[in-house]
Amino acid sequence: MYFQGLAKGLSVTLKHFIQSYTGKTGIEDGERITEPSLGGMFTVEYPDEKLPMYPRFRGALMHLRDPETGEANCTACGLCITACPQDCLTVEGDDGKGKDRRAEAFTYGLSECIFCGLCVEACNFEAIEMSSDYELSSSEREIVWDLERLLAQGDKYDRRQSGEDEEK
Amino acid sequence: MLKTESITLNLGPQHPSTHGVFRIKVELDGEAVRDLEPVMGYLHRGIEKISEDRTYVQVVPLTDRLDYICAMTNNQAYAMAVEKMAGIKVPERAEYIRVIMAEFTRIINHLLAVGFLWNELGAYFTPLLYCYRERERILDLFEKTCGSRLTCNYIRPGGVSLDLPEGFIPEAKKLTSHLKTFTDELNTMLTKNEIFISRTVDVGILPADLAINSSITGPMLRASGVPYDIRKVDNYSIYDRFDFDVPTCDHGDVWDRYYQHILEIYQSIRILEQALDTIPDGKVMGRRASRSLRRPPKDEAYGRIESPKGELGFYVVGDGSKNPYRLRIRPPSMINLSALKEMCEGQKIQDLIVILGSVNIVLGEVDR
Ligand code: SF4
Ligand code: SF4
Repeated sequence: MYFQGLAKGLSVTLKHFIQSYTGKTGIEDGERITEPSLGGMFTVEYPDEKLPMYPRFRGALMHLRDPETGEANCTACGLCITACPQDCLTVEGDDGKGKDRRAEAFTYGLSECIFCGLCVEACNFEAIEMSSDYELSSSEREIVWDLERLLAQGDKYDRRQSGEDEEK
Repeated sequence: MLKTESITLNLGPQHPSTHGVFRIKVELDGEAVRDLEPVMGYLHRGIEKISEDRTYVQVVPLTDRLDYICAMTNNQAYAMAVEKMAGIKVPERAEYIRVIMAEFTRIINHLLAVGFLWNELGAYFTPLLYCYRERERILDLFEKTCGSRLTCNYIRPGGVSLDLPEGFIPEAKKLTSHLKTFTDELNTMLTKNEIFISRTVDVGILPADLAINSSITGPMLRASGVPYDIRKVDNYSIYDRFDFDVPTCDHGDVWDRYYQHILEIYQSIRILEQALDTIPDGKVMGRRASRSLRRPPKDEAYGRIESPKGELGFYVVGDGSKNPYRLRIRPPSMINLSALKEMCEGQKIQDLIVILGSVNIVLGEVDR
């Protein structure tokens, strides 16, 4: 009496089992294959295989440099600090005025950040972006990144430098 | 007749079928449920209170964390309440994007509701993982659009934060037609399954009058035969431009609540097809939105939407400062739980799990 339902269920399982060998979903040439009709194995074997992130992905914060001078773009205006809902940013500027002012120190409390991206939206100087870095575990209890660390993050993940332009 | 002593059993807070931390005190007479008391509050984070010292925009990421399966609709309900309070106009394209995102979210939620119900019935993870796979494709679209899969923070007071990325529309169209095929497959595989029918028909009946009296909304109310859908009643956003039905079932048992979800997925797909075909170009953020939020009026407003689980409402009271003076959330999950006792009385203990699964709660929203 229960045989019909069982057979129907198992036939779908069988179909997907076969598709997982014939299908194409996964990563190919560093691109995610999202075409739904292709079917196939969905699992990504994470530490060995990594999904490429989309340009808008919100990972850890990074600071960007001026491409000509190599200095940080940040002018210590403090807009990102008021925008942050978690109060996890601080900034200190030097003596300059207006646009010439430069940030001397900047801290980013990674353990408090909720990756909302509001700070990036607030910044008018293209000084900060969210990088695509999501492997953020650490053995320290409190993780606070300083300006140097944030710039290093920017050097590693800034898409403008690696040639791929970020569409916005 | 033989009289036995009843025993009190604590189900949860750590129990796989409660989808989080939720405790039910059940009084059992043998296998039958005699009395039951839901205990909530284990996931209370004080979101309403925290909102009071955040600016209006800063509250949006908090709403992501209410019902963490449907972040987009939470954002939308909150944004609508604030827009109503501050008199902000939303551009046309943003409204379309909101509808598209909300309907995708509804599909995610309904797929998971079906999948988890089957999990609770003992079809251990196979149907659920099929649903998860399709959800993954939708989440990929979300990630592409707003940068995050679950905590979207995308729909803001005044519009949406970013325009759709390149290639979104064709991809979403492809996905929509694929979802239709998938739902057909799910429907033929699950709906008429004999084991499923024998476990769910006539279990946990919720009569329509009880549902109305307990102010239950959403798929649960419609499964009891009341065609009440805020998308139709309020015609908020631009839902009056789309052609869709409000499906209902008539019996209100677990099977009906399951089938209601499947029927609603088809309607969401219908809305998506129309919205993706007719989306206009233009701005996605109201011009005056950020200015009016810097100086919001001293006013109050209630914004509500048909979230996938029912009526989700935000009551915002502003005192003229940058922060809301008070924010009150009406979570559908919690109110849908209020008839749990009546549904379960007299049923077997193993049916209790199934009934709870068919209510489809998310504890982030129940406890806030
Ligand atoms: S990162 Fe941008 S917003 Fe923040 S202080 Fe620097 S310039 Fe201002
Ligand atoms: S992403 Fe959000 S929480 Fe993190 S630093 Fe920026 S504003 Fe603050």
